[in-house]
Amino acid sequence: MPEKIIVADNIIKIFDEGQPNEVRAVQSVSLCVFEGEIVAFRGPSGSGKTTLLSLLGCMCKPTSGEIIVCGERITKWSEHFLTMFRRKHIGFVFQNFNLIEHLTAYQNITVPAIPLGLSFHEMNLRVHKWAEILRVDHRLAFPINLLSGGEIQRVAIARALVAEPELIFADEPTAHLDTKLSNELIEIFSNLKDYGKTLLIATHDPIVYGSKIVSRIIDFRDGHIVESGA
Amino acid sequence: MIRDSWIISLLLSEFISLVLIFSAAILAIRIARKWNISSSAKEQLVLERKSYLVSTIMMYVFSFEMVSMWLFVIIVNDHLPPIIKGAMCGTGSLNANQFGWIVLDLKSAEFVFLALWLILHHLDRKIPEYPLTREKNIFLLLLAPLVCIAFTIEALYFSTINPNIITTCCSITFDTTAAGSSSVGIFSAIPEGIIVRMFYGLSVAALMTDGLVLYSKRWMRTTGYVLAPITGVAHFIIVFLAIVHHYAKYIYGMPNHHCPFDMLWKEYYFVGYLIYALLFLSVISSLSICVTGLARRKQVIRFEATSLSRKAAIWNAGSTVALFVLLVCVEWIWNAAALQIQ
Amino acid sequence: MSRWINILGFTALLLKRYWRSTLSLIVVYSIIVFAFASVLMFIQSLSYESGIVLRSLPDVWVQRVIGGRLVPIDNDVTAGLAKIRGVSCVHQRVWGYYFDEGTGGVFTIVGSDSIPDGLTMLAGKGLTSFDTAGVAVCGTGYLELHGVSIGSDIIFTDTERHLRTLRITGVFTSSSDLITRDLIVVPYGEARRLLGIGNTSSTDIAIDVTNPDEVETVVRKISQRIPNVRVVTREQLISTYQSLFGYRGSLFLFGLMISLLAFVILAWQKAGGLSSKEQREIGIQKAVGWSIPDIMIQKFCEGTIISFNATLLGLIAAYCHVFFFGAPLLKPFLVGWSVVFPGFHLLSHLELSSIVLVFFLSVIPYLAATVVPSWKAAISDPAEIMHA
Repeated sequence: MPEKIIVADNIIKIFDEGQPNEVRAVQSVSLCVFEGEIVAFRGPSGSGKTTLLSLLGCMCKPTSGEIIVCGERITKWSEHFLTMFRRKHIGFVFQNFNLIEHLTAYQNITVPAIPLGLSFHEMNLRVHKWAEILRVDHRLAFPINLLSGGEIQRVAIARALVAEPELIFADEPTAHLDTKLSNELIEIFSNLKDYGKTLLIATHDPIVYGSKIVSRIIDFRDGHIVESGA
Repeated sequence: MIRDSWIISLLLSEFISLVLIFSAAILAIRIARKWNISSSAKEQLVLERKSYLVSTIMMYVFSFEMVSMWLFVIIVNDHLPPIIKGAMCGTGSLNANQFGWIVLDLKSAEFVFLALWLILHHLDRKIPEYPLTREKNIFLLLLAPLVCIAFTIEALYFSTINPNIITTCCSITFDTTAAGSSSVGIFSAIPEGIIVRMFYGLSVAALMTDGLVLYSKRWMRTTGYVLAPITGVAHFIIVFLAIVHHYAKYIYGMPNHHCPFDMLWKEYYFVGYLIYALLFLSVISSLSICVTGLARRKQVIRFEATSLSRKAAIWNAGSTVALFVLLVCVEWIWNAAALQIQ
Repeated sequence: MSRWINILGFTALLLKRYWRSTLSLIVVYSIIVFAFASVLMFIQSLSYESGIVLRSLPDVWVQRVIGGRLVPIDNDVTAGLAKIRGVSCVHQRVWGYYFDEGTGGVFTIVGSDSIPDGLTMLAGKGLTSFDTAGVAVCGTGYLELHGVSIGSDIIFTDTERHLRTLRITGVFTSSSDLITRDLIVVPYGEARRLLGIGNTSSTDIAIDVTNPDEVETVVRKISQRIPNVRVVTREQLISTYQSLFGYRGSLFLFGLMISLLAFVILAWQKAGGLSSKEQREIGIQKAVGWSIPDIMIQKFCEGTIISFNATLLGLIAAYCHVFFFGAPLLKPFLVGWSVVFPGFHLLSHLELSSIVLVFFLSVIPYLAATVVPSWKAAISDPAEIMHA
């Protein structure tokens, strides 16, 4: 029986509470994610999926409620401790990939590993390991602006993996990709599951939530979970 | 005297430290009042971020003060003596007016308290809830006026030096047959033999206190936490007196040379750096035993505070022993060499 | 430690990327360091050189002062001075200033029967023991101003408006220009005539003391026994020169403070005014796991690299300016002016503590100025990247 890797209990996130522009992005959400799952959060833009990912991904704190990630109650932690925890346990793949253009693929992949205090040798090993798995090892010396769309995508994923996190969060990963690249991405995510990673994907792309690799779909609307099913 | 470029440079950097610490103090007031780690309100996030700025400023101030203390010693021991009548070393420079030794005392205290703040900060950062943030910031609010007073007295010292007024040098200031007028000179009335015995006694007392802190029985540890600052500060004062009254002459090879500063120079193999580094390490570690002992009152940080107080006790023991061995060896080697010559 | 090294390497990468703005900042910064370091090196070299030169002076000299002005002192005083315990040697000195109407130069005339200690001859011969032979040994200043050379005759007007002709028999080397540029050494008799000092008096009386530690005691005794005299010691003169050099240096320093302040404001704006690219990059770093302290370490490394490199560059430029090129930008302001000006070559004398002082004065204000802007850059919200 797989362990629960994420448990969220009645979490609420309100931006600018008490102000005229108050926004209730997440409202009374409770869920749990098991190890090895690939969970897709499905919902339209503005439904609160990204905010939920930020909360579960230790990027911000909920207004109320409890979140447990990898066995740690993170809700009352300071920003610094959330960051320290996040960089070891959670890797992010962003909507625009958000790579640093003037750096090479190699340098981009090392960015999350730099503050971990790894030796140069260890960092180098990890970069080459994930670059090989993701088939971008032959392009490591190239700056980002000389890489193809698919290569950029894989470099972004390698960057999310270099710290060897247990969890991978992807926010609309196929938003700017064509069908071919989207399918390639699905294949990569399927391989990651074999490496024991747990994936949470926020998406409104049917290619993603409709694929076989997704073990569960959670429907999200106006900050609420509407439906959850395999 | 204040027109001298070295002195202007020193005062400028001290002024920068002062501005920085006062900026930190202004932030510290708000942090101390409004801190609530359980809150997820935006204000708490802002306070956490400001807390980083405060700790970074304090690290900068500590580094600047460490360097400026070294520069201060260079100025009083190397740069001022040729200009001040009768001054042959730093002692003479500091005796030039009533502020000299007070400046040194304040700068030393400032350095020690800044180090203690950083130790408290290091402890605070070990726990996600940052349980000592409020106490840390209150401590900062007490430190800021000390830095201001130190700067003011230092500026007064340099601006009121009259190079034409003859000052007294170390052979008179530290003469145990007559008490000098400086804050150190007052202690010169204590006979040399008694100072040396007090040095031995307090070194043993410091080690015993460290032993109490390391011991597992609770009441013994508590006794250790209470005794540590007392033995630490007393040890610091007595070691300094023992150095100038007794061990200096073995370091310099001259019976009337008592200067506490010349041993920092190349002629004496920079041994002064080692001696004073150990001395400050000893007093800082003994005071941090007390600070971490107080922090243990908070349940959430008890384990970390106990662990840190043990580390401080080990550092204190190590530096006390090293200092003792170093000074006693200097005397023994000198005496052995003198016997051989005879 | 690995963390710091990794971040330092990453910072160097980023600086290489934005090399234009980094380089322009380093250049401006190093100009300010250059200015301060030049002043410091110049003054230090002058102090050192004058210290060497002044060492050859007598321990004490006694002058008569009436109404605040120096007047010739009676030679009778010499006997009394010689009797003071601790005094090893007493000799009368005849010297004074001569205003050369033709050129406007003021020369120092020193009466002597031999070349004073520590001075070297370029050419010709020095003086020997003689009475009134009309010879002179000059510094390069007189020769250049009058266009004369060894063997030429020079004409002086004494205090009774009589013309005195002297033959130049020797010239001092230009390496001793600091003290010989305006110097003319003539026999005692000639000096007395030119300066109007009678045979029973002297300009002042020089005293050497056997034990240097006894100088103050001897000075006190002289002051007690002989009224209306001013007693000057060599140590007083040395400390006066050091104070003077320090004072002149600090005048420059005060002026430089304004430049330093302007630069600190520039540094503050540069550190804080991040371009949108830089802001985005920091946001990405925060989003992938860099904490606020990590970003601040990065900014600290950036500040340290810039300030250390600029300071080093400024120091090297200052060293070349002062010791290879003779400090042309500073000399006119720091050494005063004269018609007869020494073209002296500054001795290369640089103490480690001065280098440390320069680093101290340049690095600390810069790092202090960049603390708050670095923090502002570091506190960007990682969640914003998610929503970008």
